[in-house]
Amino acid sequence: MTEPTASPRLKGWHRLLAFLAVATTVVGSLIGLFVVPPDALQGNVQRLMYLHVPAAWLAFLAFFVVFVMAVLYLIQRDPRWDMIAAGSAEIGVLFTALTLILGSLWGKPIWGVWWTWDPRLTTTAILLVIYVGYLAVRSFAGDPDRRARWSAVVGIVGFADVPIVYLSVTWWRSLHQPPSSPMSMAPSMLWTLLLNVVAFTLLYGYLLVRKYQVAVAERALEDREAMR
Amino acid sequence: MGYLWAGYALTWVAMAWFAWRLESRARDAARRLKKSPRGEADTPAVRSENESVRT
Repeated sequence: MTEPTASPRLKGWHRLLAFLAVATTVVGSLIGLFVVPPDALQGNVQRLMYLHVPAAWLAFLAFFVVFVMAVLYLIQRDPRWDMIAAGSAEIGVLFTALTLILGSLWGKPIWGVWWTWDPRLTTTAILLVIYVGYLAVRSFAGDPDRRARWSAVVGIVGFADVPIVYLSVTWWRSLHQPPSSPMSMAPSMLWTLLLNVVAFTLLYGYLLVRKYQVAVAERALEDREAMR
Repeated sequence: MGYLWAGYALTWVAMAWFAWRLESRARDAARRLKKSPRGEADTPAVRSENESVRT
């Protein structure tokens, strides 16, 4: 197997991405908390939307990246694709857990319950379990090739739940509100939401680049130890 | 307001913890690569990556 290497173009990128992610997160949070007006019906707790929705969208993006990288790995057997998939899955799990917790914090004052077996909530919880399972498969399989192969299969099959989560609010009667459109939102709320999506995307980019760099370095160490 | 602040605080703490843990791993990997004896795996590509993690 060829030893994976990070592209030299990735050098230093994580610093720029980290700076931009922190800056946009701070600005997005300040605008979301203090500048944009509260929702007429829900009041201030609606401001959780500026975190809950970006976290959910970025979880979808992270798992889409896992899916694409898993397909590429099975075709080309290049360990770089597997490293990117693993990093993206871990970040996706973080964003999915945040989505569920933030949704719960929003649901309690609005719906009166922390949790209900609503289709959107249930399919999102299943999504979390699938990708925690993906990470568990990676930790159980010792051989790097087998680990990559097995987790690629889980990453491809598991992605089937993402469109189900997205469409659950239209397929079934759901307590969760259907997706909002730019036409149904006040422009100030829409722009604040988009700014926070940009902040989360930059954060995802930073974390993924850094995870890939660390994975390549750790793989090089494994190879050196194996050759002793 | 308690739910709102709890949500923002939790998000910031979770993100910061995840990034801090990742940077710790990066520092550890860079340190171990530096200490690791040179072998066949110590190629220009590996040295380049070592440098990439350190920066």
